[in-house]
Amino acid sequence: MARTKHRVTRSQPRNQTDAAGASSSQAAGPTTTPTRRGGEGGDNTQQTNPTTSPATGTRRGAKRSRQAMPRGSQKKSYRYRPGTVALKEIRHFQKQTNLLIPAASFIREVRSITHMLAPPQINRWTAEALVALQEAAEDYLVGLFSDSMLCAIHARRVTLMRKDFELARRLGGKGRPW
Amino acid sequence: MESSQATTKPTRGAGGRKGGDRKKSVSKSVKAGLQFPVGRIARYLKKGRYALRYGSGAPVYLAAVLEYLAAEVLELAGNAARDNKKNRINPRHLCLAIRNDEELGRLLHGVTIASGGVLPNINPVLLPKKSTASSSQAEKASATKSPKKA
Repeated sequence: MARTKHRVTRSQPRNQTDAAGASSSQAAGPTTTPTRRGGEGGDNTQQTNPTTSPATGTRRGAKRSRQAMPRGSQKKSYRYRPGTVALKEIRHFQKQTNLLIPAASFIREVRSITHMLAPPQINRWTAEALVALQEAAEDYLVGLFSDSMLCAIHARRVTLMRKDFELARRLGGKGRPW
Repeated sequence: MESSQATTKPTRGAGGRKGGDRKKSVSKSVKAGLQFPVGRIARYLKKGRYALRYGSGAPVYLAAVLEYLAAEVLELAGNAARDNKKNRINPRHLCLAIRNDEELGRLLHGVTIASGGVLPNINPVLLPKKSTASSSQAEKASATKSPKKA
């Protein structure tokens, strides 16, 4: 027979301060560490630390710490201003040299195009050929993006649009024969 | 009869030349003072059928040109590796060396270097503007400084 958990209902708590502290801690909810990422400041993902109980996600000493802290001094989650993280990512990606398109997705796409265009008996690729093709594709795309960015800046914008890509391809002679 | 057969023509040196010992061979690269192989380049020129006949100085000249280009690229790539505190040249260093040099960049303009990356370059339009308060304070500070007396 399965045991059932009976909750004891007290008519009155032992001391008033304990009840007030418990209610405030329940209202506050689980504490999350402030994130320093640009667009991820307000999400509800909990990072479970060793001091966090796995069931509830609340800290053990939450009652006392909440009670001791003044109400107005709760730490606000840090947010970068719009554009700061973009510049940080530009610096990061211009520093590294690895391939950015996921290899499996690229290979799937290559195989589908091969199936469409190549003769039916040609359906196999060596690994070096696929890596070389991905290097060439990413190099072409990086060049196209940089040219398109120059077109956007020429139009006194900082937002890339479709017409920037079309102009870059038209003037650079890349892609479709115009 | 047998004695006359025994005293036939004496065997000459290697290859039928006069004199017993053969001289030590000196390669064309050593003669030209180059590191690149002159003889191999001559063979490639002949096998490629680029022309009917070749002068003897053509492979030497071509080897010297190729050696100069290789030395130029390797020197710049070594400097780039040393700037990045590395002892080994990798494709990134080659790419930085070529793209930062004006003439090599023009020569290898349409060339893709695998795992080379791009030059760090952010257009000034995209950078955040300096706050007006800080710029005005800087102007005031520069204005208040008295000019140096001669």
